[in-house]
Amino acid sequence: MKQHILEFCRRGLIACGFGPLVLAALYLALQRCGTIDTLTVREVCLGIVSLSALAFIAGGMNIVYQVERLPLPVAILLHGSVLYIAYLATFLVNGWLAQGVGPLLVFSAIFVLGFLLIWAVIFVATKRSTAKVNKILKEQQKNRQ
Amino acid sequence: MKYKLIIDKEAEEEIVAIVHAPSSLTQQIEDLVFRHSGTDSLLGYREDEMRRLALQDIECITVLDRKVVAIDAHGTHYRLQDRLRDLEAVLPSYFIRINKSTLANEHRIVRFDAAFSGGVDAVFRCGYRDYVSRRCFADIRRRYEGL
Repeated sequence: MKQHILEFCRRGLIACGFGPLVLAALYLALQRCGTIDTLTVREVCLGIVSLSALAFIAGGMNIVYQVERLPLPVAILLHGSVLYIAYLATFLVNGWLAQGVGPLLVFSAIFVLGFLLIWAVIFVATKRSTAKVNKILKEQQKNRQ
Repeated sequence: MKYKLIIDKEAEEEIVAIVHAPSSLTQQIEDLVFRHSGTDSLLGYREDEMRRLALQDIECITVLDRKVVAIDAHGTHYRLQDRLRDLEAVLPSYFIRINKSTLANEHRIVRFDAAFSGGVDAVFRCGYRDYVSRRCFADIRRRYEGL
């Protein structure tokens, strides 16, 4: 467990440097679109800190795929849930998500649909894979008798 | 199929079989070699009892509560004194790793089950089931596909 936490921190620290870069690209895109012209010191500071934290979490959370005991979909679900919370918090803190239930539902629906799709694809693939392996296992056991 | 016997007093004694796929013959040869070298069983401990467990009768060897345990055909657990890593090196080829703490007797696996969580479980004849890690399942699949 301790090893996984250390690895989480290591990966997170590597990734968090990209947070401000993403923020810069985002602000540049918003400025090009004419959405924003000026930024306050508070907005810039909040953006840098929150995006660094988001990148830290997003980068560190890849560790779930290294935990052998966790099945892939569980790892994806855990990864997705943490990312969902982290993204939502970042959007809300920076005021990028319009207030109200509507935008929140749209945001959540996109996340949930994406994850259901991934889960279904993995489950079907695992079913097919086990069926194939079982068939060979049976044949092999038959040959060895 | 050819039979070749090489007598060399200097070389380490070994039996090598070159085949297209494992068969009952290769299984018999392997069993014979293990029996001949006296390594076809393990000593298992259970309460005050000590029993010699034939490798063929062991369903799997796993780590439970930090102890290496062999589970037999009746689902009975026997504590082993060897480490899993050491056992892996000396056990016959039909003992395959299914996760970092379990070696499964391939002959005793009834089927692999796709769990609802998306993982894969190995189901043994005695009813015991254990998860198969993604890495090990990929190895098993690769090996089977190569047959």
